[in-house]
Amino acid sequence: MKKMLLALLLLTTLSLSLFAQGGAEQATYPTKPITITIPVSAGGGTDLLVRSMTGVLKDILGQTVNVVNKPGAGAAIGYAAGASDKPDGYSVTSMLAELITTPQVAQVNFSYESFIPVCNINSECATITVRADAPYDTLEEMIAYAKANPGSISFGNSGVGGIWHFIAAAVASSTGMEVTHVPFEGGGTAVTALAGGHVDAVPVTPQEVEVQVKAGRAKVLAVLAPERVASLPNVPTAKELGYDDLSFSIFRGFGVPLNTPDHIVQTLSNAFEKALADPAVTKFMEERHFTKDFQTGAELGELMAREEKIYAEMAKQLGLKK
Amino acid sequence: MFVEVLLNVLSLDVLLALVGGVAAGIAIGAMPGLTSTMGIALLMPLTFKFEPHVGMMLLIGEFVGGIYGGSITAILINTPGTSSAAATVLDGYPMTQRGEAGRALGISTIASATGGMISGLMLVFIAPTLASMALKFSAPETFALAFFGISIISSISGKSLVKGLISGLLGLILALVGMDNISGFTRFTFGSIFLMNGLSFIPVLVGLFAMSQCLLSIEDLFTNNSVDTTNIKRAKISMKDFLKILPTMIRSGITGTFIGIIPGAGGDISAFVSYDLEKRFSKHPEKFGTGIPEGIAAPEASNNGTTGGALIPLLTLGIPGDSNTAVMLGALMMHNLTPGPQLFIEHALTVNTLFAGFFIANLVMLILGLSNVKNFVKIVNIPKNLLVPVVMVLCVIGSFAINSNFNDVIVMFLAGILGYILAKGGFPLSPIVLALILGPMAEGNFRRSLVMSRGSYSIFFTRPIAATFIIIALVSLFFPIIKSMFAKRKEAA
Repeated sequence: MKKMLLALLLLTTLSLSLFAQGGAEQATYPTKPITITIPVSAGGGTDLLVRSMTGVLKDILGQTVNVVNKPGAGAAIGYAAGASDKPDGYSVTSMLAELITTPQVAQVNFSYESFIPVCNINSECATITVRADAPYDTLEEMIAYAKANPGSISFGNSGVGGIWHFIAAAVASSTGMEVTHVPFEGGGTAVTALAGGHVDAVPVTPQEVEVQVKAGRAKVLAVLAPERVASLPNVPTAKELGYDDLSFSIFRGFGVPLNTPDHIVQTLSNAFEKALADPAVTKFMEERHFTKDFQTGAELGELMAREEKIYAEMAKQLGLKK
Repeated sequence: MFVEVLLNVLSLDVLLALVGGVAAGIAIGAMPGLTSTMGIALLMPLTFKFEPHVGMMLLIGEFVGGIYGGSITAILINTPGTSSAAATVLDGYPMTQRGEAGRALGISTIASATGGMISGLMLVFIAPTLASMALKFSAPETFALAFFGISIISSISGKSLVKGLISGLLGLILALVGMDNISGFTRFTFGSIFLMNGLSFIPVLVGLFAMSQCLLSIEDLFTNNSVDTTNIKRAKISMKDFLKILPTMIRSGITGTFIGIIPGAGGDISAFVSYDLEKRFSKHPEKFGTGIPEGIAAPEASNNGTTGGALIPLLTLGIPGDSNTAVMLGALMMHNLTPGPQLFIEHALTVNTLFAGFFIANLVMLILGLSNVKNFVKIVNIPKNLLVPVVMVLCVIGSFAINSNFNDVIVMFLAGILGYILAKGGFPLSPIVLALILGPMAEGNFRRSLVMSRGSYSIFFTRPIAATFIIIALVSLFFPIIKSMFAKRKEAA
C-alpha cells in the first residue's frame, strides 16, 4: 500500500513538472535569468560597459541578466564556451574583435560564423599614438622620420595576432613604414611601455591612451576612423591624410549560438537598443568616452565579414596564418 | 585643508566603507581561490552610486584587507588564501603546528598593518619621486627582477636544496603550457583550447596547497594518527616578539613598497623577496622555515607594503602597479578622477582624503585582525573530519570562480594529487609556486626585450636597473657556493 502511494505521489509530481515545462515553453521569452558571457576579464572596458547595462536590461526584459567572465587565450576560451551554449536565448555572448582575430592565428573550433549576431552597441576606433617627446608631430612627419631612419619605429601591441598587432601591421603596410612589433600582455601594458618611452607608438583606442595624453606623456597623431572623434576634435583621421584604407571599427556587440529562434534574437536586439537609450547608460557611456553605435544583427554580420577579410590578409602578410 | 580632510575621513559613510571594505577583503582573501583582485572587481559596480572618495575607500579597504586575509588560512591550515600569502606558510604553519597559532596570527596582523603604514608614509611623502621608477621599468628590468626572483628558490627549499630545485624546475615546466605571447605558438596544449591559456595560477595554487593538505589530513584520519588539537596554547604575540620583528617589518615594508611600484610585480613576488632577504641577512638563517616570528613578519609586512606601493604609480601616472590597481584605475576613471599630476592639484582634497583613508584602512585591519585572533584560531580546533570537507568545497568554488570554467576545477584536483605526492616525497611546494609566477614573467620579458633590441643581448647590461638586478641574482646564486668553499678551506687550515 505504501509503495502504491509513493508511486502515485511520484507520478503526480512528474506529470505536474511536465505541465510546468510545457507551460514555460508557451510563455513568452524570457522566463528565466539570462547569462551574458564575456570572454575578457572583469574590470576591463567591455566588462564595465556590459555590467552598466544589466540593471536596465532587467527592467526591460523582466528577468535578471547575469554576467560571467570567461577570459583567456585571446578570448578563445569564452568563445568556445559561448558557441557551444544552448541556442535557447538564455546564453548571450559578448562579441569583440578577438572573435575575428583569434581564429586567424590559432587552431580553434569557432569563427564569427558560429554565432548569430544580435546587435552592436559600441564601436571604438584605433589611433596612432606616439610619445609626447617624439621628434614628429604629424603622421606625415612620422612617416618621413621612419623612412629617414629605417627600423627605428616600434609599435606596442596586446599580443601576437591580437587586434592591435593587425592594425599596427596595416598601418605599416599602408604607410610604408618599417615597424617592429612588440607584443605585451595587454593593451594597458603597451600604453605603460609607451609612457615610459620603451616603445615609440601604440595603435590602441583614444580611451585607452586618454590618461597618458592628458598627463602630457603621449600625443595622438591620427585616428583610424571614418570621421573625427568627439573627444579629440583636433586630431585628423588617417582618411583625411590620404590613407583611405586605415579605418577600423573595434566593435562591441552581442551574439547567440546558431539555431537560436529568430523572435528571441529580435527580442534581445530590441532590449539592447532600448537599454542603450536609457539615460543612466547614456550618462555612463559619455563619462567614460564609450561611443554609442547601435547596429542591427545583420549590419554587425556584414561588418564582421568585411573585417574578417582584412585581418585574414594581414595574418598572411605577417606570416601568422595557422 | 587638514580639517576638511579630517571631516571627510571621519564621516560615517567613509568609515563604514572602510570597515566594510576591510572586512570583505579579509573574508575574500582568507578563502582559498578568491583573490583581492576578484573582490575589487566585484565591489566596483557598487561604488558607482557612491561619492568618489567613499567608493574608492571601499576598494582601498578591500585591497588592504584582501592582501592580509590570505595569511590567516596560510597560518592556520597551511593553505594560502591568496598568492601573496604563499610565502607565509613557510613559517606560519610550523608555528601553528607547535600550538602557537594565536602568536602567528598576531605577528602576521601587526606585520601586515606595519608594512601597510610604511608604504602609506612613502605614498604620501615621496610618491612623485618614486613614481618615475615605474616608468623606467620595462621588459629588460622586469626580466632581471624575475631572474633574481627565481634565484630565491635556493632559499625557500627547506632541508634539501636538490629537492627544492627539482620542485622549481617542475614549476617552470608547468609554466610552459599554453600559447606563448611572443610568437603565438602553442605548447603542450594537445589541441585543447582550455590549455591554450596555460594552467591558471590560482587553481594550481589552491590544489598544491589546500587540496593536497586535505588529502594528507584524510590519510591521517584513516590511519588514526590525527594531530592532537588539544595542545593549542593560548599563545599571543608578546612585546619581545614585537621588538624582534620591528626591524624586519620596516625593511620588508620598504622592500614591498618598491616592488609594488613596479608594474606587473605584486604581493606574491615581494613576499618571497623579503623572506629571502631576511633569511640571508639573519644571524640564524637555519631557523627560517621552523616557525620563527621573522619568517612570518617578513612576507606579511612586504605584501601589504605593496598596497601603498601599487597606489603610487596609479595615482601619479595612471599606471597600475598590479592587478588590483588595474581594476581600481577603471574605478578612478569612472568617478572622473583622471590619475596624473593634475589629480593632486584639481582633486587635492579627494587625494588627501584617500591618503588618510589608507592609514585608517590599515588601522581598521589591525583592530579587526587582533580582536578576531581568538575566533580565527578556532578553525584549528575544528575536527579534521568536519574541516576537510569544508575546505575541499571551498577549493572547488575558488578554482571555479576565478574563470567560471570547470576545467580549472580538474586542474585544481590534479595539482592536489601532485602536491600530495610531492609532500610525501619531502619536496617543498613553495618553489613550484615561485616558478609558476616568475617563469612566464622571465620568459616573456626576456623575449620581449630581445624584440625591442632587435636581438641584441646588450639590452640587459646597458640599462642600469636591469644590470643591477642581474648582478644581484648572480651574486646571490654563487655566494653560498663561494662561502662554503671558503669555509672548507678554513676547516682544512
